[in-house]
Amino acid sequence: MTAIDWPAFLLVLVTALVSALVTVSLFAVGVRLLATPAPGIAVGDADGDDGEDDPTTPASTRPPSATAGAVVAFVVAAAVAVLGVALIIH
Amino acid sequence: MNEAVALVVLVIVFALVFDFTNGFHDTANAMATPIATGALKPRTAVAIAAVLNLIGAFLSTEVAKTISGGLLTEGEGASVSAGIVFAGLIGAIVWNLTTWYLGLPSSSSHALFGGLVGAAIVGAGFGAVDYGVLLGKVIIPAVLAPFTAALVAFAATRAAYAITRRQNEPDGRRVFRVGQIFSSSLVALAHGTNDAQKTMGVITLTLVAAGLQPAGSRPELWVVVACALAIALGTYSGGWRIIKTLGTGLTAVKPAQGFAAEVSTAATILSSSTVGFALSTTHVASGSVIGSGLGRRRREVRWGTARRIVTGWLFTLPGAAVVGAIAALIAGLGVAGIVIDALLGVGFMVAVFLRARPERVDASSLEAEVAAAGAVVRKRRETRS
Repeated sequence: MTAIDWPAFLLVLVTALVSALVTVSLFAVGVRLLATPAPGIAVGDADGDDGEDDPTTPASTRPPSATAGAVVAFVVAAAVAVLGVALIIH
Repeated sequence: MNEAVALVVLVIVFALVFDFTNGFHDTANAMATPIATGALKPRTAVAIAAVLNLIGAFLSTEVAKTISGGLLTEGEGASVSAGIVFAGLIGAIVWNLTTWYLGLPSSSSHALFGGLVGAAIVGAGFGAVDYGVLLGKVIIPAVLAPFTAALVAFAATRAAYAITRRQNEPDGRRVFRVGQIFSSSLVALAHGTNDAQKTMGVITLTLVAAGLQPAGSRPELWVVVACALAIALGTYSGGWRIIKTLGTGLTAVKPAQGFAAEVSTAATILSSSTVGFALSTTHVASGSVIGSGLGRRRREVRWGTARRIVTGWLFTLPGAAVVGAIAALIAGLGVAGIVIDALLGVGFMVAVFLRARPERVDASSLEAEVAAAGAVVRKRRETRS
């Protein structure tokens, strides 16, 4: 009983690392796609702060494929989270 | 017999008080970062956390059969009496309130284990504690947890920033604030499935020991409801001091980073409870915040605060153990001892709250602080461009 259960710990580390990376990356892809304006349209940055506090680019300049991709990314990220909750409930 | 029943009632009351302190101590784990980035208003954040802790307490089917996972010799031929559990609870409550006063995020499970170990050693001798379990299931995981979470959060933060990096165009990272609402909720839910169970275990064990409930049976419904309500109420009352430390004391949290930290905390806790390798929520959450701070390009972690927190962790187990041991010594006097313990415990609670009042940290003062911090950041940006 004294020894620490290293295989279990490694399993926790790898699972946590992979699931967190997948979820965060998916969400980030969604964010990146939402910030995609149509090619060739310059987006003004009114306050010149590299857009950090600006609202998202107006939807009209974003190609529909980017919007759709973003939605898919967000939904899959949410699905991963729901799976995680389902695991502890059972 | 009446005295025995009175003691059981006293243990239940103090167990629920501990559950309450557990809730308000740990609100920060889920809600410090979304409050810090302004993703959620403080009052909204603690309300969401409270509801999810309440739900979480009912969700988990994993029943705490033993208080401590084999840490103390329980059950058949148990040396752990209701008096010892009572003394242990006093140790845990006193320690939780002390660290709350100091604004330190310390593990409530460690406080509980520490209090029980100290009380058991004094009340039942050194043989009452399984030191192998203490080392392998409590102490070593406590060392591993923050490093694990920090590594995960570091990688996740790196990924979030790398994917959303843009040259001379809006990066839209504010959207992460919406994500934060969900990721922090996930942490709160995971917390509820873990922590309320401990108090249910304490109360059930006491009822079994007193012969009021058959051995090996599940917690009574009223126990589950009482524990769920106590932890939710505690969560709602908001441990603002600890939220302040975790949200603003370690690093200036940005939305993308906060989201990455919360997802990492949730992922680490969920995988640890699935695998059955228990990690403290508090240790994981603090590790995540530090890891995400290191993962940003302009890394800034206030190591002085980190050192204070880690010092708090080191002292939690022995500190609560000493208080638990003293309480057990006094309880050894018999009925009078138990009464003295209860009075001292209540007196300490009142004293801490009174002392904390002049320098109150609450929802509105915290909100003002977050707004002020935001204004400073904006001003700095304006001067830069």
